[in-house]
Amino acid sequence: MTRTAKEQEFQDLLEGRSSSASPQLDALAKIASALGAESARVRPSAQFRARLRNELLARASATPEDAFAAFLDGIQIDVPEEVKPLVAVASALEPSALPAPDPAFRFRLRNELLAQGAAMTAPRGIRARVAALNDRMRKSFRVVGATAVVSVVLAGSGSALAASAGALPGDALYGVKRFHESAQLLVLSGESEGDRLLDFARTRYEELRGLTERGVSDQSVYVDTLADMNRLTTDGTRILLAVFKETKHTSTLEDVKSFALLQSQDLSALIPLLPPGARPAARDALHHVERVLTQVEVVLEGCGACPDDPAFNPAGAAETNDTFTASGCVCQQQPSGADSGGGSPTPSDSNNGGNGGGAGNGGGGANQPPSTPPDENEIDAPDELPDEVEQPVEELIDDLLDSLDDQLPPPPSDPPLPPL
Amino acid sequence: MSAVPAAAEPSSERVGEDEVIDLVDRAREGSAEAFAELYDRYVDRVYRFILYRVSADTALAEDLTSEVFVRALRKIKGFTWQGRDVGAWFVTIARNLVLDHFKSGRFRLEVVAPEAPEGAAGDRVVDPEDQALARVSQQDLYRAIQRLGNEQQEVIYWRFLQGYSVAETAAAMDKTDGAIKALQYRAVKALYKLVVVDGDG
Repeated sequence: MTRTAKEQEFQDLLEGRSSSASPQLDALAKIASALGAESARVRPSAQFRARLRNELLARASATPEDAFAAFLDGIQIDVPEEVKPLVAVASALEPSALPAPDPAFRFRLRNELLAQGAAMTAPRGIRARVAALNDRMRKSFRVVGATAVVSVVLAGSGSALAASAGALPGDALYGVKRFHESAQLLVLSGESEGDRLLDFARTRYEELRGLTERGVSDQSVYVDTLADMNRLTTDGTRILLAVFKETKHTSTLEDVKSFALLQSQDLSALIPLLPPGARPAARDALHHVERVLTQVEVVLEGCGACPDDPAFNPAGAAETNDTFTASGCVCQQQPSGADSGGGSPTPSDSNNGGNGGGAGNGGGGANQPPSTPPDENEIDAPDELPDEVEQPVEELIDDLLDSLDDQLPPPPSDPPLPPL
Repeated sequence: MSAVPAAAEPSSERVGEDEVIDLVDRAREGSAEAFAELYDRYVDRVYRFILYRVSADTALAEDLTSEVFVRALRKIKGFTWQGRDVGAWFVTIARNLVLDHFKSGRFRLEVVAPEAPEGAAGDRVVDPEDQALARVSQQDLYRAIQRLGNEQQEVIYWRFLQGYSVAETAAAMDKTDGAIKALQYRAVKALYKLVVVDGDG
């Protein structure tokens, strides 16, 4: 064979076009294929290949939008020519510091929104009011601690409020306890209301005693509680005297008398246990109750002195004179013929005894808003209330909201108004 | 429109941190305080967006911001989650009010740019290497923004001036990611044409 022919034969062998060859060519072919296998091992790393593949794919299929977006997201460094100038422009657009709103404007708008919001939602029924009340209570009473969610139990069926029953002034649940008292009063009138007010005055005494047992030394807590006690005593007595005037039932005043006796004895015993700063207020409260006692005894004994005399006004001369109406001295009036059917003639007497109104069961009450874990002291709004109760309850909540507004600290984030 | 009770919507529909979700739910039930807290969280974002769109007219921005929240207050009871972010909801109200304002023709045509970074930085050219862009300052760029279309201005605002991601911008503008990618490209291209082809301002 000529040399060229040999080369051709070798080439054919390498390329697989022929299989038979001389042993020399065979050996050469084996060496050649071994060299080929070696070079196959020198390959780019998988990582590099993947990156390159992605880059090529990106360039091949990407629209300018995709390329631009990929550049901005930092996953592509190189962009097509047409995109390059845009990259420069985009890079020049720095986050600019647009100013914040003027603090005075911000503050004013916030107040406006709050006012509008309150006005809008106030007339919308129990749920909205209770939502607002829960907001206020959250701030006003700084509730902490793990207790069960409290239901609003109206008309005094009372079962779900056991947790708050023992609360003392300053406790987390105390506000709820007082709220519950107000709620009870809503659906009472006449003798029942008067009796309940005096009950609450007794409760104030028990709280004072509880505070001394706990060793509370802050006199202002005692002073405030005593003031509440005086007010409850005055209000209850006034109502019961008015009832007596109308019905002439001495049992009504006997109740007042037993209250006053007990209260005066207990207060006398308590005074030495109080912090010294609270004792003057306690002595005033004691005198207050003693005046009530005298007052009632006089009336019960018949006319030695007319109870219409402001001197016997249980609230003291400085306070309200509307305890007695202008209808004249009770001693000079004939007993009315209304001895029929015992008990107070006032229509709500059926509510007496603490289980009144039919306003919902004691437990559970409303559907819970499901999403958030209930704040421990949130009040549950019942879904429905009896008609005769709904409006007074709404008014009660509005009153509470108004009084709580006075107690609220100013919102912490508000900047001071700049001088005008 | 009656309020949809919170319990009726699956919780997967709600978007945002738990606190915000709670505030919205309470505001829907009538809590003015909860709404005020939402206001605290979003008033800056809304104000800045409006200020940018009205060429830094502060008084107008305040008026429009007030209007946004007053409207939102009226509408919050009818708010349904539907997978939305409540911040985007406020911005949507703001966007629509701005557009209404422009349509009403009550605005001045004078173009006032948002403040470029102060001093030498504001005069810095966009790209000294580029033949065309070497003559364009950052201030020129900011002025040119005012001449973009509404959506283009907005995407410039969120993506570049506020530094939002594509997804965040999509949420703010209530569009898909793909739409934002297309929009940002067109906006920057338009801006480029304004500063290079038409000269500055």
